[in-house]
Amino acid sequence: MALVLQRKTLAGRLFRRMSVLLTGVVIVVGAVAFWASKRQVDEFYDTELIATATLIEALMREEAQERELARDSGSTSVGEPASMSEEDQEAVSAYARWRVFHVWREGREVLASPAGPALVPPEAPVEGFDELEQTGATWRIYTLPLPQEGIVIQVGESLDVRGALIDRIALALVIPLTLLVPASLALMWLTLSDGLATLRRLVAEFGGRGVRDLAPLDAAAWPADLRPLVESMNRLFERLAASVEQEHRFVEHAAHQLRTPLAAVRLQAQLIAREEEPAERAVLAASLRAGVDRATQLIEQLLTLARLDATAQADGVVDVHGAAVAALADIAPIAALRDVRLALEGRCGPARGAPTPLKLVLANLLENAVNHAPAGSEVRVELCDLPDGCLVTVVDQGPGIPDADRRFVFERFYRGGGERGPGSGLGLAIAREASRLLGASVVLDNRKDAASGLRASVRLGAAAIQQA
Amino acid sequence: MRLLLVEDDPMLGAAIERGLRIGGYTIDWAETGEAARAAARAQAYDAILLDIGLPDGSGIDVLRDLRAARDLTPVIIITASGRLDRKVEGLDAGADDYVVKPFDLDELLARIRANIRRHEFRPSDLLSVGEVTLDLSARLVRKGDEQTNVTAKEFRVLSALLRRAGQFISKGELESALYDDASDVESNTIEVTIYALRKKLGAGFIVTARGLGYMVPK
Repeated sequence: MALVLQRKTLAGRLFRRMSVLLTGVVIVVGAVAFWASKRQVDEFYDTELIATATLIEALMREEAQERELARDSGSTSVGEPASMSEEDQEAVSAYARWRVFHVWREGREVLASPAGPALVPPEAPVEGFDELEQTGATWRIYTLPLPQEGIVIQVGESLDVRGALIDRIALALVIPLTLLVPASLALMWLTLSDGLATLRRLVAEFGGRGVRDLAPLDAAAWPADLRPLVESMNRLFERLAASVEQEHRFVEHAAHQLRTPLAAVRLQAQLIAREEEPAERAVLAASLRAGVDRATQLIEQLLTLARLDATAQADGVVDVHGAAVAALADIAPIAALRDVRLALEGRCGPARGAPTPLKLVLANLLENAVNHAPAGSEVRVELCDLPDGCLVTVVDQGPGIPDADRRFVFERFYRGGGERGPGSGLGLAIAREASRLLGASVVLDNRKDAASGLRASVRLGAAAIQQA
Repeated sequence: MRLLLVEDDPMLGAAIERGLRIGGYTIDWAETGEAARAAARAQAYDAILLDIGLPDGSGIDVLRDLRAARDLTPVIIITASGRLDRKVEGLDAGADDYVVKPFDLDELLARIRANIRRHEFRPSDLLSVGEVTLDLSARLVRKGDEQTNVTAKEFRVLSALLRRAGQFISKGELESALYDDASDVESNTIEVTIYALRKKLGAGFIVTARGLGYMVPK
C-alpha cells in the first residue's frame, strides 16, 4: 500500500484516478437515483390525493342520490347540504389519517376533516395542486372544483409525510453507496496490484539479473500487452550478448596474440643476460627492442580496432581524393625508407562514408602494400569514378597473396607465411572492419597483368543526394 | 642432440633457436606445419617443440599425424593459451608436455631434458660409463672426482656416444648431432673431436671399427 501513496508509481497514479472516477460515479448515480425516487414518490402521493378527492366526490354524489331518493319518499329534511355520512367521513379519515379535506359550497365550508390547516375558500377554484405553508409545515393541496354543484373539494397532505419516505429512500441509497465506495476501492486496489504484479514480476526478472545473464525471456509466457516490451528487451539482450561475445573473443584473442611477442621478449632478455660477447649483446638488444616495438604496435592496433568496433556507422560524405592524398603523404617517409615509389592515378568525386574509417582503410592498405613491396617497386593508388560511387584500389608489386591464404588474411592477427614484412597481422583486419563501417568491403586480388603484386580494392557508395 | 622447432613467428623462433643452441642442442627450424611434417619424416629428432598456432593449420594436427605414423619422439607443445581445454587437447593428441607463452628459457630446457630422459628410460641426466660421468643439465664432464674441460663440440659428441653406450654410432649420425646443416661439416671434424676426447678421457674410452663408427663400451 505504501507503493500507492507515492505519487510516481504507476499503481498509485492509476488508483488515484480510478478512486476519483469511482467517487464521482457513485455520487452521480446516488443523485440520479434519489431524484428519480423523489419524483416517483411525489407522483404516487399526488395520485393518492387525486384519488382521495375523487373518492370524496363519489361518496358525496352517492349521498346526494340517497337523499334524493329519501326526499322522493319524503323521509328526510329538504335543503340539507350535500355531504357525506358520518361513517364515510370516518372511513376517509381512517383511510388517510395524514390527509385533510375540506368541502366548500358557495364559499362556505360544509365538510372538513377534524385536524389540519385552516383553509380559506378558494375564490376562483382551478383543478390542480398548490402548496401552503402553515403551522410550521408545508401542505400540498389538491383542489377539485365541481362547478355544476357549486362545490369545491380540497384534499391536502403534509409534505412531511412524503419527506419521511424520501428520507428513508435516501438513507437506503446512501448507506449501500457509501459502503460501495471503500469496498470497490479495496477491490480495485486488489485487481490493480494483481494486474501490476505481472509487471513487478517482469521488473524483478530484469532487475535480478547478473551482468552476464543475457538469456532471452520467453515472450509467449507474458501477457500480450507486455510482449512488445519483453521482445524489445530480448532484442536488446541479443545485441548485447553478441557484442559481449565479440568483446570477449577479441580480448581473449588479443591476450593470446600478445603472448607471442612477449615470449620472444622474455627469451631475448634471458639470452642477453647469458651473452658475454658485446657485439652479440648489441644484436640481441636490437631484437629485444624490435620485440617491444612489435608488442607496442600490436597494442596500438588493437586499440584502433576496439575503438572502431564501437564507432557507429557514419553516413556522411567524404572526399576520397583528399583522403588518398593525405594517406600517401602519411606513408611517404616509410616508403622512402624502404625505397618504394608512390603514385596516385585517376580521380573520383565525393563518396558516402566517414573520414576516420576511410583514413584507416587507406592507411592500412597502403601500409600493407609498402611493407610487402620489394625495394625499387611502386605502390599505386588508383581512383575510379563509378556510376554508383567510387572504386579505390591499392596496387603493389609485392609477392601477392596465394589463393589458399586469401581467406585467412582478414582474420585478426593472421600473418602470411613466406616472405615477411613487419606488422602484427592486424592491418588488413582493421581495413576490413573500417570498410564495413563505410558500407563497403575490401576485395583482394592478385594482379592480372604480367607483374606480380596485390590489388586491394574498396568500392565506396555514392554520396547520398542532398535533399533540399 | 637434435631438436625440431616448429614456430611460425620469426622473432620468437629466432630467440628459441638461439636459446636451445646455448643449451647444447642442434636445431632444425620449421615455420609451417607442412615443413614440420617433412622434417620429421626425413630425420629422427630427440624432441620436437611444436607451436599450436601455425599459418597452415593447427600444430595439434601435425602432432596427430606424427603419432598416427607411430613416431614416438617426445613432443612439447608451445601454446599461447593457458586454457585448460587447450592443454588437455594437446596432451590427448599425443603431446608429452607443454609450455605456455611467455615461458622461461631454463624451464623450457629443463622440460626438454626431462622428456628426452623419460623417452630414453634414464633415471637422471647423469650419463656414466666407468669413471666418466656426463651431466646433461649442468653440462659438465667428470672423470673420477676431477672435472674435465670439454668444448661444446666434444660435449655433443660425447653425450651422443654415452646416451647409446655399448652401441656403434656411425660418423654420419655424430655429424648430424653436431651440425644443423650437414653440408657445413668439415670432413675431419669428427676424427679431431674423437682424438681430443680420447686424450682427455683415456685412449680406450672410445673404440672405433671401420664401417661401424664409434662406441663407448659399457
